[in-house]
Amino acid sequence: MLKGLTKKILKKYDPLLAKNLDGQTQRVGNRMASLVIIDGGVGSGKTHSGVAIADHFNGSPIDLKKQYAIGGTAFEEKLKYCVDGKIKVIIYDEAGDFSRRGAITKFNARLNRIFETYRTFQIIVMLILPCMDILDNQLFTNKIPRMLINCHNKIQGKYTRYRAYSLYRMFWLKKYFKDLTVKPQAYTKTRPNFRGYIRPLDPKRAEEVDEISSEGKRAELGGTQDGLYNKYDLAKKMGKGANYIKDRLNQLGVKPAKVVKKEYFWRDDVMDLFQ
Amino acid sequence: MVDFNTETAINTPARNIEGVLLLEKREAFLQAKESYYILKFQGSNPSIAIMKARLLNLLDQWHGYLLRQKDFKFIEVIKELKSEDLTDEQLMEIFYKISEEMDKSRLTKIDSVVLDTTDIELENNAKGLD
Repeated sequence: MLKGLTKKILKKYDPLLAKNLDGQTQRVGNRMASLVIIDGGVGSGKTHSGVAIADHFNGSPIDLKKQYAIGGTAFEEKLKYCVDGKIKVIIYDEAGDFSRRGAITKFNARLNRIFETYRTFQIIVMLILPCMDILDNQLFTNKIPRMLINCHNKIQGKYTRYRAYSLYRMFWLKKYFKDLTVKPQAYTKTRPNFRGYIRPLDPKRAEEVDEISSEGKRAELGGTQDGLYNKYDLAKKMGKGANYIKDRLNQLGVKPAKVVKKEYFWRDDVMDLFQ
Repeated sequence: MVDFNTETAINTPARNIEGVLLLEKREAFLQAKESYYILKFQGSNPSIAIMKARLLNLLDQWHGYLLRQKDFKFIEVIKELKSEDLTDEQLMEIFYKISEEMDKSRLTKIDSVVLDTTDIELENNAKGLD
């Protein structure tokens, strides 16, 4: 009964967005890569908007257990499933782990490779992350992201406001991110292709999304302490051995930010030292 | 090339010079056409000789281009113009064809394409990001 319902909702309330999303579907049909980025501050309605858009791509509500991944590792696993099942769309939420900071890690190299080759699978990948600027430049040079939806205002239960940018404008956004001191002003410096509102999900579905999303976010949190990372978390993030990380930090004389029960925790900026 | 009076470099591409000459020839034809039709609408029986000669002039100016484009259709037209008696309508037909060609080669194309920026893929493609 739900089949096509979300498609109708988007078409009804935001025909411009629906038209552009259909353009992406058409592109994927022609065996070309299409990556849609959704970014926005904390609590700006990225995940809900992402699910609504994915539902539109899918033509029916997506299977959150199979088409919604939190973090790169889960994404890799679920992408395999989606490709085998010839599923049209997959969401990669909390894609902050696929950042420039870890660009030289094996994990990022593997994800870069996936994005370079996945076009043959005719699947749309949606990246949800706080800011598009953290993404690897190589991705943009390869012309893989096609569309950016920046969620910037949410009125709970009513709508999420968004701005949409083409790849061309994303390059300008990146330039402004580099130049400006107040980075988020880049979004206002670059004129969006269009703006609009995304209606909230059906309450039942929103609950379902929240449940899966917070479950995944809890798993991502892992053993972190106040946003700090132990050697295992750092190892996972950088695709290196835990002992190597600890030894290297000792060699560099980096003191841990916190010690809890003989376990050392560092800030995430120590990852920069490994590049 | 240097302008020795002002000691500044002058560099006008041959294409631009040729373009201006072509447009002059086109303008001359249109003026002849105007005079012809004024006389015709006044009820006299004017000759199309001037129109024909000026169209021939325009085509001759364009001869090199036509040869490079291997557009032998127009080369044939030049021959026809020189030999046959054509009516004013036939002359205008030839002129419209030439105008189309001039438009294609961006000599008379003055309107620019308006891009629908709300179509993201259209913009990406237009900016060479296809």
